[in-house]
Amino acid sequence: MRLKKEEAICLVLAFSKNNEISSKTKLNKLLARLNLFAIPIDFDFSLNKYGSCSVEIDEIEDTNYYGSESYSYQGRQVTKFYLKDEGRKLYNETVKPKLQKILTPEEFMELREKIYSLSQLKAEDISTDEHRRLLVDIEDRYKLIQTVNAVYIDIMELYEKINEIPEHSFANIKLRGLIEYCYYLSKFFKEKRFKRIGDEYDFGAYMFDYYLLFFLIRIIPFLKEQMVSKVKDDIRINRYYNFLMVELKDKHPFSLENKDLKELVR
Amino acid sequence: MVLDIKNIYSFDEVSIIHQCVFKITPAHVFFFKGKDTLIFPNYYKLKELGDSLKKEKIPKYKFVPSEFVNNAIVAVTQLIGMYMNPAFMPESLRADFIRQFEEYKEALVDYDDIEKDENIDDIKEIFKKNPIKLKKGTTLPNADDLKSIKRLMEKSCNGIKFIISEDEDFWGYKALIKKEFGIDVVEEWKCHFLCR
Repeated sequence: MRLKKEEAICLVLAFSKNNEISSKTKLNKLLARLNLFAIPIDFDFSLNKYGSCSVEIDEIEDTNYYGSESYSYQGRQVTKFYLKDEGRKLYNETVKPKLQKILTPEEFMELREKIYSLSQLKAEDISTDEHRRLLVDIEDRYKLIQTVNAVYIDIMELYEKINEIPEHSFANIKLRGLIEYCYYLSKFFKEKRFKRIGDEYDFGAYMFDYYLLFFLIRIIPFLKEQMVSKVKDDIRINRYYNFLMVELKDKHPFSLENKDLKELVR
Repeated sequence: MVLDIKNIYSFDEVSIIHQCVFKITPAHVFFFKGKDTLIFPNYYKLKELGDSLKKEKIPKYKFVPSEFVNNAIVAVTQLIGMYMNPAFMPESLRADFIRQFEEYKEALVDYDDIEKDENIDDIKEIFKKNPIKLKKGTTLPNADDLKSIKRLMEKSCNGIKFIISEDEDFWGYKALIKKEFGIDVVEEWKCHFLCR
């Protein structure tokens, strides 16, 4: 399940206050935020000084689903986006059912509330919040390295116990696959991607590295709990499995679709 | 033998699993000496029969409710195990095959269903009275296989009732199943002869 560009835009507009987003920068930030909820979307992001940035968002034009309007704000021309009736229909008939397949009702509400509350902030404040969560700032470099190491150790401990997960259900097999994949991903981050990051701001970095690190931090408690739980959470295992191992295939080099993946884990 | 619309062609669950084709992800290709797909040994024989039945517009049958989970995990593990030591089998590879199997299973619409019969005490007695030492050690077919046999036995048919299986529970008792229940067991590796 991956949201197409227009579906992702309708989603953030549907969840935003008054179904409006007051600038392109803010739209950019809210779309990027979907990645932190492990919701795959058809936009790619790289790191600029304000955090996640997608050049594709500059190319967005009005459609039957949403429109834009220019207005003047503090002497600048700004473009705001709004949801049209067709967009509301697309959200209700296509996007919402897709989300309901992968999110629990609690996760759905959490996403809705988060986008709604962020939509009331300034783009700059959303950016600050994203920087803090993803540890992209130079001041957070030490914390980033510490986090990469801690994530690796935590997942390694889980990976060492992988054979304790019985092999009698599809969910268990996928859980084992997920843990193995997370282990090698965290190893790649520790030994390659973030090893020589230095003291410079990571300009132009592919944001998925940061999204995936954030994803690993969030998934560890879930994996720990699922390791020992007799009843497996099939929905979330499937969701995380699909996010990492299916939907990432053309989004990140650490993908099963990369024939040279083994070089990244050596 | 010529395919006949009057016959019933039913497939044991494992033989349905054996018709799944697995795409090997590029990251795993090097384990399989460059192969990009993996199939079970009798895949082409099963395909030949399936394609012929489709061409002749003759229905195929599967037994429900199915217990694909255990059988699929065993089958996939064995299939990958043909190429590598299971102890070194990447979990992500097996998980990916299971995901592909789930998609295959969702798309299984070209089979008609035969509901298994839960009441198997009577036919179980017949097997008990005529035990055969199977290669795998047990002497009786498992309960799930008996439920399939029971319902297929009861199903009305003007031709021959076939069950295609690679399971010794069926072909090990081939003569008894024919004599007592009027069902022809076809070993999976010989199933293509049904349409030749």
